[in-house]
Amino acid sequence: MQEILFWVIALLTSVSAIATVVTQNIVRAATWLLFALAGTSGIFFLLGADLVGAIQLLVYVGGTLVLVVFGVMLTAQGPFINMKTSGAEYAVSTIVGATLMTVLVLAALSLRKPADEQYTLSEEYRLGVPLAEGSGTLGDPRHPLVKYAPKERLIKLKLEREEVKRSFKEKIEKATSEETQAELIEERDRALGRLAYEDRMHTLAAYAPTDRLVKLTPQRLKVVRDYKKKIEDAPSAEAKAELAEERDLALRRVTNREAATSPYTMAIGQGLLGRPVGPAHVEVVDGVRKVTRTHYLFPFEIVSVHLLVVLIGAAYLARAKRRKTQSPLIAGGPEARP
Amino acid sequence: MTVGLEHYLFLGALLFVCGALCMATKRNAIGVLIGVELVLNGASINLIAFSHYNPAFEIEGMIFTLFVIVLAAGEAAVALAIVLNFYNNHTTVDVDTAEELKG
Repeated sequence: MQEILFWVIALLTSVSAIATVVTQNIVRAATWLLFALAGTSGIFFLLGADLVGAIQLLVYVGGTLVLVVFGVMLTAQGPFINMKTSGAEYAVSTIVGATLMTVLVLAALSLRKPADEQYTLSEEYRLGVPLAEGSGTLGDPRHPLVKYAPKERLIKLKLEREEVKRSFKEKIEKATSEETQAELIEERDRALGRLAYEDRMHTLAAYAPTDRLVKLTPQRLKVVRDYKKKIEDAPSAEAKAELAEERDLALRRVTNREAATSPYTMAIGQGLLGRPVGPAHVEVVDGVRKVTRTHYLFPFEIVSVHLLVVLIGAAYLARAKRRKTQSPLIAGGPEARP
Repeated sequence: MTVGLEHYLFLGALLFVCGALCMATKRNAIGVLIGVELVLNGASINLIAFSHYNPAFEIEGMIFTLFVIVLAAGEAAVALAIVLNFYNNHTTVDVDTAEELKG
């Protein structure tokens, strides 16, 4: 759903942007710009930036564009409506534009690789479950959220870790056989993993945007646990890699299922079509729990479209009227004026 | 085909290039202004896309986009005032013939 909407809006926006450049008529260019700006606000809505999209519509489409159209109407007279650009100029700018576009597209494509290397998150972070101690949490300096973490939390986390380690250290030293020692070490790692997991959940809950908070459901944990055993039992490295790939696929399936059923993540694009989206708010009114949703988007769109129609109508009316009663001073072009 | 960060970046790049070409080829001063608006929109799409795909920059991306929008509004108002003044003085909006601002 979101993808179809993206392609539709992206097509509208890019066609309008290209038409803005290609058209020679300044009034048409302003109208195409209107569609490009509206499409951009649609992209903002798709990306979950409701407020920015709304302000884009209000300030840009409703305010700035009105100014531009005003300027067009006040100056677009006689020879200034269609101003031809020479062919040579067009050729040069096409070459420059193609080069610039290539550079930007290459930059966008190469973006992923260095970012992956720099922010290679640990297995645990990627899978969303604790496999090892300390990684992918606030203890990991590569964690993208680490710069937002308050110092007290980092210190508290460190103290808790040390506490667990100390308590197990004594037990491990006192252990009689190697088997119990190994068991204790495993138990300690699990305790540390639990700490890391709690911390990660806390961090996500506190600092991550709610709509992108991937729920670490029991299903997800189950998949990882099942495959962990299988991978450990696998005879060869190849089989292990294959199993790991399979596990990642299974995890992605779980994530997709979660996302599809989540009230916010996937549904956000559908807000454009009037489906109520947004985090549900639970309110208690007179002792009765009520679930309310914030769905202001659709009425807002209706108002905006209304505004756009009025804008186009006003521009059309102003042009049509002027054509009939064209001033004789302007009819001959700028030279005819005193 | 899943839509990822790159697709939004491509769209932003396209808007940016269109705006740059609009600034370069249009002889009408208001056409140049329209080009500037397109460039700013391409930049805004980039900012919002990054703020969506990198949770660490969620707030920064949106705030900067708001700044861009408001600055564009201010810039459009001032530039239009200049263009209209220029039109009053020289009865033309052709940027190729604009050599002096004072009439």
